[in-house]
Amino acid sequence: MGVINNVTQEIRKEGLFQWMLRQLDVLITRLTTGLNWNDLRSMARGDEPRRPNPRLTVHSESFFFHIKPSYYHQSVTKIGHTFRLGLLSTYFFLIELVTGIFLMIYYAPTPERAYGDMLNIISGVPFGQFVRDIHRLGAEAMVIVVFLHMVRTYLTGSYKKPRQFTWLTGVILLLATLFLSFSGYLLPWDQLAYWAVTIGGSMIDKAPPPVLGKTAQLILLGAPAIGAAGLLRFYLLHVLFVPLIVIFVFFIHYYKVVRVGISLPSLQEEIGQDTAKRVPADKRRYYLPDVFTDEMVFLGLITFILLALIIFGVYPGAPLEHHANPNKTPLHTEAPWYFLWIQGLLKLGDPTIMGVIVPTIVFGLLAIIPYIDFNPSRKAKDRPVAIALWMFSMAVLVVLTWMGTPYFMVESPPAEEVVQIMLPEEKDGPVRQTDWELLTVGEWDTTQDNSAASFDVQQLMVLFNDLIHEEHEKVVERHEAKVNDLRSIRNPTPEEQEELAKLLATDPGLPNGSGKMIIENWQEGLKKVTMRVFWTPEGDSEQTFEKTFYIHDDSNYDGQ
Amino acid sequence: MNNMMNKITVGIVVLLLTASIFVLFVARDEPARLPAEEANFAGRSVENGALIFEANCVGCHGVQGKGIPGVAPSINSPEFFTTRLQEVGYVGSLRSFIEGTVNAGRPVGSGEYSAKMATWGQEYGGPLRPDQIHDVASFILNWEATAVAGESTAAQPTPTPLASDASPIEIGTAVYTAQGCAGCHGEPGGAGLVGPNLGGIATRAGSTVPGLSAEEYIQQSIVQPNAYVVPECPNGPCAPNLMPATYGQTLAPAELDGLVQYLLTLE
Repeated sequence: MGVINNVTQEIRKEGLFQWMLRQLDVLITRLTTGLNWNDLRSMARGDEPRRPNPRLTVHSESFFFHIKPSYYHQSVTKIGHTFRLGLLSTYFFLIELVTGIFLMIYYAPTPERAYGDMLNIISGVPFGQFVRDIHRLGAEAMVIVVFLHMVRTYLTGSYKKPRQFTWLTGVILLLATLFLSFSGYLLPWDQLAYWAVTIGGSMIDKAPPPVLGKTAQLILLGAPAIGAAGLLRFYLLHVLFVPLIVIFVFFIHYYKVVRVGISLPSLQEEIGQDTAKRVPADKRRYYLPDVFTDEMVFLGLITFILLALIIFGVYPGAPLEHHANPNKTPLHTEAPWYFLWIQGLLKLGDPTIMGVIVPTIVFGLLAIIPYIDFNPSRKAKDRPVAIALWMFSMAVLVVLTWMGTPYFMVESPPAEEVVQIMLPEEKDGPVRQTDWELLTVGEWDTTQDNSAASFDVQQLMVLFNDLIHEEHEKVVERHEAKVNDLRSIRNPTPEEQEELAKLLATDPGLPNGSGKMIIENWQEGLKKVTMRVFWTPEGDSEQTFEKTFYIHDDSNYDGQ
Repeated sequence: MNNMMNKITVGIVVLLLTASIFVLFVARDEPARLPAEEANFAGRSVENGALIFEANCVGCHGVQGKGIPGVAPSINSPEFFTTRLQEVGYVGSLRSFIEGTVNAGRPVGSGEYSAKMATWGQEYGGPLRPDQIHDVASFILNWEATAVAGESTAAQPTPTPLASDASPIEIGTAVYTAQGCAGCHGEPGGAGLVGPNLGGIATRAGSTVPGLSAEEYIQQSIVQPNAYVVPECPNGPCAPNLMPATYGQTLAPAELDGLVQYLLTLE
C-alpha cells in the first residue's frame, strides 16, 4: 500500500500529465542506459554535454556501446583515413547473417531437395529472390571490403607494432570470409556450384603428402567426390562453423583495435611512436553523438547503394544454373572471381605446387608480414620496398586473375565455341533472347538466302556466320603463332621438328565454314533448335558439329 | 556542431528510403514476378525433359512418343491422357503415374508390348536423378493439349532434315535411330536388349537363309520378320511375332533401302 500512496501523492503534487512525462523520461533513461530526453535533444542539437557527461555513462553501462571507445582521435574519424572498411565488413557480416537465416527457412541441404528448394525460393517465396540477391551481393561485397580493408592497413603501415596480432587475426578473418563465400557457392546445387567446388575439392586432394591431401578431402567432402555428404558438410561449415569462427576471431580482432586504438595518420607521428591511445583533450571526438551519427549515415548510404544495385538491376541477380550434373562437364568451368588467381596459377604447372603450396605460402607470408617487416616507419616515403612489393603483388594478382578466366590458355574446339556463344548451356545468348514466336520454323543456312525467315532469325544467321569466321581467324592466328615459335628455334629437337611438321600438315580452324540452324515445332510451346557447323579442311572430307536445344515459350534465362 | 541535426536528418531519411521505399518497389513486383518465375521453371523443366527423352526414350517410344508397335505404347495419344489411368486402375495423378513408371520401370512385359521397360530412376538402380524424372514427366505431360485435341501440327514436327545430298547409308542411319531399332537390337556392336544385336549382320546375312543374298535377307527380315526367326536372342530363344511386321507399310521405299544399305555396312 505504501508504494501506491507514494505514487498518489506524487501525482497530486505534480499533476497526472507531468508525472507521466517524468515516468517516460525514466523509461528513456533506462533504455539509453543514462541519457534522458533532454540529453538526447541536446545531443541532436550538437550542444556540449552537461557535467558529469551522461554520454560516457552509456559506454560503461550498455553492452553494445561498451565495446566501442567513448572517444577517438579526431584524425582517425575522417572518412579518408580508414574509409570505415572494418565497420563495413562487420555490417556485411550482419547482413549475411540475417538474410542467411531467411534463406535457411526454405532450404534443406540434400541433393534431392536443394535445387528444388532454390526454385521454390525464386518462384514461390515472396521476396525470396530479393533476399537471395542481397545475400549473394553482400557476400561478394564483403570479400571486396575485407580485401580493401587489408590494403588500407598495409598502405598506412598500421600493422606495425603494437598491432601485429590485430593484423594476424585479420588474415584469419580474410580466409574465413573467402571460405564462407566459397562454401555458400555449393549450396544451390546447380552446375555452377557443383563444378566450381569440384575444382576446389580437387585442389585439397593435391595437398602434400598424398595421405594428408586424401584425408583432408575425405573429411571435407565425406566421400571421394562431392555428393550428399559433401553438401551437408559444406552447409554446416557455411551456416554454423565458419560463422562461429568469424564471430570468435572478430571479437579478438576488435578488442585489439579498441585496446591499442586506431593508428593515427603516419604524418602526425614520430617514427616508431604510437600515440593513438594518448589523445589530447582538444583532439578528442566523442563517439556519442558525432562518430555514431557518422557511422549510421555511412551504413545508411551503403545500404542504399546495395539495394539500389539490386532493385535497379545493375547487379544481374544471384545466378541459378541447371541442376548439378556430375556426368556433364560445362564447356568452361570457372572458379568464383576471387579464386580466379588460383585457377590462373593452376594453368601454369603442377597442381600440388600451384594449387596448394603457392597459395599456402602466399597466405602464410601475408599473415606474418608484421613480424618480418622491421622498418619502424609508417610513412610511405620511408617504405619504398613495401610499397613496391604491394604494387608488384597487385599486378601479379590482376594478371593471374585474367589468366584464370577462359580467355587464357583454354582452347575449346572452335565449332563448339561458336554454338556456345549462339546458344549457351547456361544464360540466355542471342537465340534465346529472340522472341520465341519469331523463331521461324525451317532449315536456315548461312550460305543460302534466308529471306523466308523472320528478320530476327535472319539477323541470327548473320551473327552465326560472323562468329564462324571470327573463331576461324582466332584459331588460325594461334596456329600461326605456334608455327612461328617453333620455326624460330635455332636447333630444334626431333620432337619439336615433329610437332612443327604436324602443325604444318593441319588446316586449322573452320576452313570453308558454314552453319545451319534448324528450327522445328516440337510440342505446344516447345521448339527444337539444332545448330550445325560445317567445315572442310584441305584434303579432308566435310566435318560437322551438331548440338540440339529445346526452347520453351515460357522459359527465361535472362539475368541468370 | 550545428550541422549535426542535418546529418541525423539526412541519415534517417536515407535509411528510411532504403529500408521502406525500395522494399516497396520489390513488394509491388512480387505478385507478378512469382508466377512468371513459376512458368519459367515449368518451361525449363519441359526443355530439360525433351533432352532426356531424346537421349533415353525415343528408342522404344519413338521420336514423338507415338510408340512402336510391339515394343512400347504411345504416350502421345488421346487415350493416354484420358482413359489410361482408369484402364489400369490407378488412382493417383497422371504425373505420378508417369514418374512412378519411369522410376521403377515395367519389369514385366505385357500382352501387346512384350518388351520390358528398364528401371530408370536412380532409386531403383537406373541412371536418372529424381529431378530428371520430374523433367521427363513434364515433357510427356506437355503433349496433352495437342494429343487430346487430335491436332497434328505441333505433334508432327518437320523431321530433322538431312543434307539434301544425303547418301542412302546416311538415311538408313537416321532411320535406325528414328524408328527406335536400338530399343531392341541395341547400338550396333553393343549388346542386344530384346532382339539380337546387329553388329556384324552384313557378314552373317548372306549365309543365314540358303538362297537369299545378304541384301535380300536383311530386307526380308525387316518387312517380314516372321519369315525366318533366328534361334538365339539375348533373353533365350527368339520368339516369333516379337518384331513388328509393319515396317513394310510404314517405311518409305528410300528409307527401307537406306536402312538395308546401312545394315550392310555393319561388318
